[in-house]
Parts: sequence; structure tokens; C-alpha cells
Amino acid sequence: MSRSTLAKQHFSMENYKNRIWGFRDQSNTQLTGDLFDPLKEAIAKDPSLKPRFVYFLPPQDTLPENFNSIASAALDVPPVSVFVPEDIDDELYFFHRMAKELPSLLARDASVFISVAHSKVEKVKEVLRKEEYGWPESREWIGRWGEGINSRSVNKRRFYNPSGLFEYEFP
Amino acid sequence: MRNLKPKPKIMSQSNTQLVETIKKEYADYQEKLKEFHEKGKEKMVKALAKTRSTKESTGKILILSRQTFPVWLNCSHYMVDLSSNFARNYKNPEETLSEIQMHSVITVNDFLPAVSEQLIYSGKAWWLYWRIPGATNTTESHSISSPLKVSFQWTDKKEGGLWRSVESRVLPEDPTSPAKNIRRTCDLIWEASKTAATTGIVANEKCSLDPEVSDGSCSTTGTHSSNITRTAKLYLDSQKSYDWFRFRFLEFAEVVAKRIEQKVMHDALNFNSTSANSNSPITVYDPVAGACWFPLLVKTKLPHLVHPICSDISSDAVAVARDNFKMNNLLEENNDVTLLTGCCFWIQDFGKLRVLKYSKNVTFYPCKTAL
Repeated sequence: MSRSTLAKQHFSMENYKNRIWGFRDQSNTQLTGDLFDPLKEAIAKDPSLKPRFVYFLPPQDTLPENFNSIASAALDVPPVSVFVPEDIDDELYFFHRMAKELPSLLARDASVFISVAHSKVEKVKEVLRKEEYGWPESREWIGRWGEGINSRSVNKRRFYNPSGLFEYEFP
Repeated sequence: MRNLKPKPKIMSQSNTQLVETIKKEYADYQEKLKEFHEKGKEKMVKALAKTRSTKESTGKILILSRQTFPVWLNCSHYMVDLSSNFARNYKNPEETLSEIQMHSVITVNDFLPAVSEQLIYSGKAWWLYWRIPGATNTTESHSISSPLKVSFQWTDKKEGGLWRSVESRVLPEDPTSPAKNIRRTCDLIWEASKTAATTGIVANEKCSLDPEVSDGSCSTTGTHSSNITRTAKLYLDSQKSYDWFRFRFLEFAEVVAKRIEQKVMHDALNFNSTSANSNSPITVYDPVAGACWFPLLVKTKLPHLVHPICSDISSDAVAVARDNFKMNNLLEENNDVTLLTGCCFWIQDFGKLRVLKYSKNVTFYPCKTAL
């Protein structure tokens, strides 16, 4: 990497530091880390931040082999929001991590809502049914043909969304 | 007996040739569809740019997309705001289009953001029907001296469909405004039933969260109507945070908001002290929040009840989230929203994003690397 590129990135980082740090408190505490780590850190400082409701719509596709800059541009969203990390071949990578790491961070009587591509619902449910994870049974709120919570607005027709919505209620 | 039937040409080809032929045919087909789409769009642009037409204009645009029902299906009213500075800069000086024509082009292109990409011409086709009412007097027609404003209506059904309005306007330049991009506004209509269990009186509630016209407060009146309509006007940085808008994600937020209300009610009825302090807000956490559209919607729906926690790999997305909350008066001085950033990448332009490199053994959000 050239010096000018590094300098540019450093400059950008300085800008971002000013923009993104310390939203919650004014002491410029930056909470960063691996997936759930920022929350862990936040909870350590303020236990009231333990979430009672969680919504999780993670990337659930592996990066296609022929993925290139044209395909990236056509996506219209950052690839990081669509694909699991490049060298991971398990499309359910994030669901495994959620299953293992999230429950300990939840408040009592919490609900975890997940959005899963219709075609992967059974696979994800299977992951979360694993004894080692110990997740409760799910409740489907929105499925491929579901009418959602408000039957007037969806009107029992096909729900035009690539994902469904499922709730896991924790005691 | 000898078969005199001529062998179809396509069957005489080898597999490789056949694949090539199909590919070519498909590419040609896509080109034709694209042309069809562009012609429909062009007709609409021309109709919008007609400055003093008293006749109603109508037309239809072929929409082909995997994203069958895009953003505007959720919107009863959709508005595109362009800063006048942007409109000026956008104009190519070599082009002969007038400002109003250019404005129409921008409006239509902005309105059909997802379907102009050739690569996504693979879904089911549907027609977008549009109409532009004729101007009844000169003040309604476009004029260069008046603020640029183009508007039209659209529906997805030839007959009996609900016509939705789209309005584009140029905002005055505001150097203090944090958002320099195009902004879309969409009225989202929330509908829910709420019955006061003790009296049987049903509340009719209308909320406006448009910071320009309201302080975000809701007025509630007792009525016998069974509907509660809550209109939330959200301002969003459209260049980076509108993808969720294309699908019916509004219902997702509605389900969760409803469940939050149910739990709060349940806690109150059961004096549930094991849950969080009854006075403290309900925390809603999105670990992969992007621009935080989901907690934003829930917060919009239940502004005094929830405390969103948004976390994402992209610091830029988190910055957009902060702006979105700010624009909607939901990021208050008393730290009403917690925004956590999982990484410090220098993602400045989503259009030029490169695929980020990961390693299983290195932290997923490589802040240290970036710093």
C-alpha cells in the first residue's frame, strides 16, 4: 500500500473518529470489536443496555465465485451487508454465532426476532434447535405467504419480501 | 419409416453451441426489454417536462426486477427533494436539456432507482401506470422562474388500483444542512387497533414526525373508530439507506412494535419487576443494523418507549444512522439512541465499495488493522 493511500486512509479515519465516536456518552468512548463485542462492552458499563428486543437480519449468502466490481455495483448495497466473510463457506455463519453468543447478553423476558430468506428457514431453525445452543421454539410472524400482524395491510396475499420474520422468546 | 420432418435447427447444434445460442438470445431479449423500459421512462420524462399542458398525460412503464414491489409500494405519498445546488451540479453543461427537463430526468431516475440496472432484468414483469393531471391554470404549470416541481401519480393496476403520488421539489440551499444528497420522503401509514380494555373506548391517533411541520407530538382523541392511523414521515439519506424501503419491511417493524407494546402491557398488568425497571425504555438492539432502518422504524412508531442500540461493521453506515435519527428528531441530547460501531473502515462511497477482506482468525471487525 502506498504512503499516499495510507495517509488518505488515516485522514479519513480521523474524520470518522470525529463523526462516530461517543454518541452515547460525551467522553468519546469508542465501542468496537467483533460482532457482539461493542454491546458486551456497553453492557459492562451500563447493564440497563441489555436488550430486551433484538432484530437480526445478517448476511446469509456466501460470496459468489465470479463476484466482481460490476456485480458489486449492481448490488446497490455494500457487499458486506449481503455476504458472509469471503473465506467462510457456511452461509449460516452469523446464525451460528448468534445462537452461541447472543443469549448471554439478553435481558430477562427477551425476544429475538430474526429475518431469514424463505429458502433457508428450515436450515436456520435446525441450527437453533441444536441442544448445545438451547434456543426455544420459534414463532413465525411473517412467512412467504403470511399475512403479517396486520391482515388489512397485507391482505392474505403473497408477502413480497425475500425474508420472513420469526420470534424466539427467552424466559 | 423414414422421418421426413425437418430436424429443428437448434437441435442440430452441439451443447456448447446451444448454450451460446441461448445466451445470445437471452441477451438480445434483455436488450429489447431494457429498450422497452427506457422508452416508457422517456415518455414519462417528456410528459413531466411539458410545461404548460392542460391535458392529462398517461402512460405505462415496463418494470422488470427481482424486486417485484419496490420502495414506493409502501408509500402513500413519496417525495424527492433535491438541493438546488445538486440540481445545478448534476447538469452537464454540454447538454441542451432545460433545467426542468433535467429535473424530470432526475426525478424519474430517482423514482426508479433499482430497475434501471440491466443486471436485474430477470424478474417478473409488471406495468407501472402513471398519470399527470393537466394544469388548470398557469400557476400550476412549470416555470423556470418558479421553484422546480414535478409531480405525477402511479399505480400497479390498470383498473381499480390505488393511485399514489410522487412529488419532486428543489429545496433551497441550506449550508447548515448535514445532508447534501438527494433526500426522499415517504409517508408511512401505520395502522393498528387499540382498545382501551376498561372503557371500550377506541383511540384515534394521528402522529406526524415531520420536523418541518410538527414537534413530533401525537394527538389522541376518543372516538368509535377502530383504526389508529399513525403517519411517520421519515427523512433518509437516500443514497445509502433506502434499500430496506424496497420491500415490505414496514410490516416487520410493525410486528415488533406490536410485540413491544404487548410486553409492556403485560409487565404493567403483572407488576413485572423482574423485567427492566418499569420507567426505563425497552432496549431494541440490532447487531447488524446497517443504517439502522429497523430500530429507526420502531423508534418512530414508539418514540417514548424504546431505546435503540444500533451496531454495524460500517462506521459510515452508523454515521448515516446517526444522521437519519437526527433528521427525524429522534437523536436527542439526552442520548436517546446508542450507536455502536463495529469497525472503522473508510467506506465513503458505497458505489465504489470494494469487497472487504476477512480472516477467520482475525477479528471480524478489524478496527485495529484500520487504525
